Amino acid sequence: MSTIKVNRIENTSTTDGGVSIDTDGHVTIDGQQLPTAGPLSNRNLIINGAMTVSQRSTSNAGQTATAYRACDRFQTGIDSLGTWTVSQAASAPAGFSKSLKMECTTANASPSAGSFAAIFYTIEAQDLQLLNYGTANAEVVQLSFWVRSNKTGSASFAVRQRDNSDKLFSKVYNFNSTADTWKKIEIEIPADTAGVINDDNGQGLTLAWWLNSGSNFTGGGATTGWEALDNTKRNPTNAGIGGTVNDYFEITGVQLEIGSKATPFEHESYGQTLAKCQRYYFRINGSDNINGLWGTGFAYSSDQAVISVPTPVTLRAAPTAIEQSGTAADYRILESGNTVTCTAVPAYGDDTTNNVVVAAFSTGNLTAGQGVMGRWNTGGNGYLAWSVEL
Amino acid sequence: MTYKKLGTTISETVIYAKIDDDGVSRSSCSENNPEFQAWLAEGNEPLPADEPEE
Repeated sequence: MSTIKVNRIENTSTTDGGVSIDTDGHVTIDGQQLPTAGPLSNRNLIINGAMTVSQRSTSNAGQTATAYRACDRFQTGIDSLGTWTVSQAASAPAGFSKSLKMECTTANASPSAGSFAAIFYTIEAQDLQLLNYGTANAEVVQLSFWVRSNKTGSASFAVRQRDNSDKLFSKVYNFNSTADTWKKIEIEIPADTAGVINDDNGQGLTLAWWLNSGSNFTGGGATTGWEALDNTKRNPTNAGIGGTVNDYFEITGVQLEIGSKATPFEHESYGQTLAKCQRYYFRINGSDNINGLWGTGFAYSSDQAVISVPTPVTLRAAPTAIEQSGTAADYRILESGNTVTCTAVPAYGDDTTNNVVVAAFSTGNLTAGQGVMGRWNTGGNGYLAWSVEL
Repeated sequence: MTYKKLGTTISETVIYAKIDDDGVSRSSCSENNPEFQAWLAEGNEPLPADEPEE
């Protein structure tokens, strides 16, 4: 067999494009990096990295605590560090249409030791088995994302792995040299040959983009690889975003993939991303189907109906809670052609990973044993949601 | 924020309404809910269920 040794192949009339092969043998075609390891599709281990799905809400003002707000799967971590509006923003770099935005509305210029503001993303452990962590074949991983902020300078990114040990990798990156300008960041996460990630539906890796924190999380310097957790190394260089009102941090195009080179962002349809998000949270809205029906069941008594709702995908785990609007009149029950308004808000039923149950109440208005359907009220303000986030 | 016992499901799982600081309940959960369990672990006690009307 013959081997052609060449660094580049290109048309005689061009000075760029073509095929390039670097000194490690990695190939770029017309400027697009090819994968160096792993599959050619379904490469991105991040769900909703383009921030297109936002089932809960597109904008949430007055946020002071850690919670899932706006863009699905991305948790905004806030503890005693100002007040924020968390939104699915329309601003984005070319090739994207949405970003996750945290904007400070009440600043904290002197955070207390344990306070923080960050964005967290946790990957389900069984989806990380291709990394081979805890073996000699452990894979290097590339993280890429776009950021924009009114601030300039350096910030910290960290990954935490809690199975079988509590380990940390952290890295300082320059997130912006020009204010209010999108910048693409690439960070290599080293292979961890010692830290086994359990093959289950629990927490695998938690990524953290640090905006600001108190002294408990800074001062220790970045890790030199995977190390035992040291809280002072989680935010080694503090960006201080949130020290001034109107400070903001936007992020999109988040991709995590195995290999020694980051490849172009793997876009997918809204429907594909929504279905992936629904494994962790799904919500049905009265505003999507005003006066329509949301489930079927039977009257358990004259006061209560038990109404079943099939889940859109198999959930990560059986839910143990239900969310609703807080207003009983947003919900109705249809029984034998007669629709009655609920007298109490819907409550948790017996849920599984493939079906959720809602207890709906209309005191004295039902006939035990009759078939019923759950129905939205005409205002369209009702919703039902189930969360099994990691 | 506090919790109030609502009753039981058909399979006898005890359920609780989460009552926000404004007095409105926007969610309810089973006795196995991790957030509820953490709240109990802090030494809190849920409010009892309403007495059934005669």
